[in-house]
Amino acid sequence: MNSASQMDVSLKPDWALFIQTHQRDVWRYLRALGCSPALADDLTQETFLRVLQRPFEDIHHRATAAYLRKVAYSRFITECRRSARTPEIARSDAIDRCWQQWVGDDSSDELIEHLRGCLEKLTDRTRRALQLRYEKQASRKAIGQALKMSEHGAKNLLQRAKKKLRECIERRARRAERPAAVRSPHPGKES
Amino acid sequence: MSPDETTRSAAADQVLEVWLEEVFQGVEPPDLTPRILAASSEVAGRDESSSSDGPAPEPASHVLVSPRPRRTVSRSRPALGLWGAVVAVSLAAALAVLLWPRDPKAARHAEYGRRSAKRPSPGETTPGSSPQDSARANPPVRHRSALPSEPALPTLGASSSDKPPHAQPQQPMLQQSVPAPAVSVPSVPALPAEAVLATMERLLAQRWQVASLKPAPAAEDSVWCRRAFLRILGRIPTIDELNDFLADQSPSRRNRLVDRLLDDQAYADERAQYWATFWANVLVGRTGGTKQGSGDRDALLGYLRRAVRDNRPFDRIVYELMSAEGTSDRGAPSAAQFWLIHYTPDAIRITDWATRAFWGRSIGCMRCHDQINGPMRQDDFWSLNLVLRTADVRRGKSPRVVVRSQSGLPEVFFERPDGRLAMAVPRLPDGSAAPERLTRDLAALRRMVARQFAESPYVAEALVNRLWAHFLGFGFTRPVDDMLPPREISHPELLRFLASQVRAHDYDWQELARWIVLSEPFGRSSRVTPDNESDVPETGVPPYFTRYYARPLAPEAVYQSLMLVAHPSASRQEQVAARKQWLRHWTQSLETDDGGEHSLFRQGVQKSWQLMNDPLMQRATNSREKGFLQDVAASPLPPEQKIAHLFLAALARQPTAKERKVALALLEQHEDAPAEALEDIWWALLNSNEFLSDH
Repeated sequence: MNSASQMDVSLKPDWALFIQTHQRDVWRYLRALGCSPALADDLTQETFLRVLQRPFEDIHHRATAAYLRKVAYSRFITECRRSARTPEIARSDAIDRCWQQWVGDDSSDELIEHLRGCLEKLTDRTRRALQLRYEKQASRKAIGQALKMSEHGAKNLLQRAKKKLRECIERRARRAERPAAVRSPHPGKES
Repeated sequence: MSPDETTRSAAADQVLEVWLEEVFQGVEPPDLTPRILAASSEVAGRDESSSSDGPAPEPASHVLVSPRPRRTVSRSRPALGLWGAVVAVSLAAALAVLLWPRDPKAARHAEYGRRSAKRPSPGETTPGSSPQDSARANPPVRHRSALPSEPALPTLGASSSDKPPHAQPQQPMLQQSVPAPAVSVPSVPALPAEAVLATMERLLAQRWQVASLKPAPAAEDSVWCRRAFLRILGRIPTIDELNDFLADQSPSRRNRLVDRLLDDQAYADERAQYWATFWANVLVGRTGGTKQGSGDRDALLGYLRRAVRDNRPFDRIVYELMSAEGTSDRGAPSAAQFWLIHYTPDAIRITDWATRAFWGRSIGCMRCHDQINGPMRQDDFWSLNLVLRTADVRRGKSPRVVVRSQSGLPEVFFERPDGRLAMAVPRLPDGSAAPERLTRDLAALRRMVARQFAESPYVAEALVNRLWAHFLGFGFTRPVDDMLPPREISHPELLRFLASQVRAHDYDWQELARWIVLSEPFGRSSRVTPDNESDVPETGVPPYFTRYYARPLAPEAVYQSLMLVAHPSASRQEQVAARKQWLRHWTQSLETDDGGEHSLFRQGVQKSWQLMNDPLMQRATNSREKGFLQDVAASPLPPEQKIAHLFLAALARQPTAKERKVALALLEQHEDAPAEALEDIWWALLNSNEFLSDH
């Protein structure tokens, strides 16, 4: 029996649910690796096609998410080679590790929510700088002019803001993942 | 900032920037479900039409395989094509509208909760599932255990009373793979020692009858006494102890001696020291924890000494060692040292050692391939390995076990023999999938894994096999820590019976030791007779235990016995320090990843030569040094009695006529220096094979 005949995706509604559950994370992961939105669409599709063509057991969310990410990563590297781009393996690996550390068992939606919360905590000026940079794609010089500061000052402001956001996200992620207290059989002897 | 940190920071910035763009520009990931489903249908239709032209193409080698691909669910082959694609797209679109959540996270968890609830419950099997799958769905029944209760964690299954008697298999536990003990273990009542001994005798006699063997004659009392001391306390008896035993004429004198050796407070220290060393050798080898920077062997020994002194149930010991309980301060007795000594970031070493030590299953080979001619798969090794990756070690003056710093279990990929990459799925020791909650709470996961390790039916089997081999020279399998099917077990019924009694006696391993020491084979002579000459496990055939198998003493036993005659007044601390130094000569670490070591204490010229010239031997045979020989030389006993005294002390027997004659002749030759003649006799006795053997 070949791989295609081993499943009937059109009559299996749980595959639709499966894709819906994971596609946002895969897409965002590919974007983080450096894909444009259009390429992320294509590679997300390829990733799921690859996975659906093989026998698959959905053990639990984390394992499945990791598996999909590994396949997506492989698709991304293949795509880089196909388009004669040299993939920066070390950087991609670092992004993968960062993703694993930040997102972990959660969905990236949750992290985006954390990010929104963290943005609220920044000063108006800092938020404005970020908005100019990531909404309007403004250059540092333009940001400096808008905020009445030098280009160098704008660069520092953006860097400090990103650092604060990183720390805030990590803090919130840690707080969110802290499990409910499980009673230790030996109080006080927990390592 | 180091290059690594720079890369990490740049990577984090890149992830953050993508998210910032999404937040500020409001660009959300698109819903690709209909598109993917349609494409998938197209591919399926294309593959189906091409399948009639020839064989299906092989999967590309760089593509990951899904976890446990052998558990495929058979699917029907509907007619696909344009009609299929249209149906798929419309169905998917309808589903997308119905299912697309307003709050994606909440909807996902709700749906997945419903899906997982539909999974078969334990005991229920799905049509088409393999027996192995069915076995995984039926975890072993919990037995009565001294382990701490933890209501928050899932239990292992129903109690044995919940199962009808006819559901109990005839031959449980011996034919299972690791790590899924698939069948329940019947609980049996705890029998008194006499009934256990009678059953052991009956089961052994059955085998002798089938093989047309007759057991060797009973061993003399003095020989039996020497054995009992060597195997329970790790040293030969003193002359007083031997004479006390021989003077006892009651029929239950052997029982009384075993009770004294196992229970008497006078021997508590010696017993604790000996058995702590025995278990430490099993757990970490003779060189484990002796190096700076790794765990502390002395701290592990301290923990084990306490456990022996308290006669702690063995399953409790397994739990404490596997959960890495207690302090990790250097020198402080702690079970956590087991983890510290075997710690590697990939947890491969502890996976290997823990399964060998506690389950008697050697699964190291399955790192690279499925078991040859056996049921165990490569996936089983890595699944177990994954759930053992819960701990990190914080290095420093006192290395300590801490919960792994990463959030949740790491992702572990392994290579199959055909070069494909597969991902490990976290499975608990009973073979069930690790609950997702536990994969995030690593401290709770470690406790759960430790608990299941201790509750596994393999623990009792492995304990019986190991102690049987310790007392009688050969276990029921060879090697003793490799009981994985299809390894042949020489006495499966006896092993099963003793394991069930160990469980019934709450894992009282000292009680098990009592049964074995009082058993038939332990009380038989080591002589080969015409009636049992085919019972020669030394040549590689399975043992029948028709005689006591003579074997060389372990280095620890030789040392303790020499100390007894060389320096009897040494304090325990002095003895421990000197022993550590002495034993270091005999074992070398191979410095391999799996903690392999090489023993130099084997029969041969090198061992004999080293022992002859060993400082401890020199001291033991020097009549000018304070010790046993000086006492004998200075005593007013006639020469003949002095010689008898030396023989009794070293070999627990009187000299033969020929030996006496030779010894007396030597004394006569050195009439002017009798102490030197006694030194020579004593040296010859202590270097004889008879002294260095347990026979």
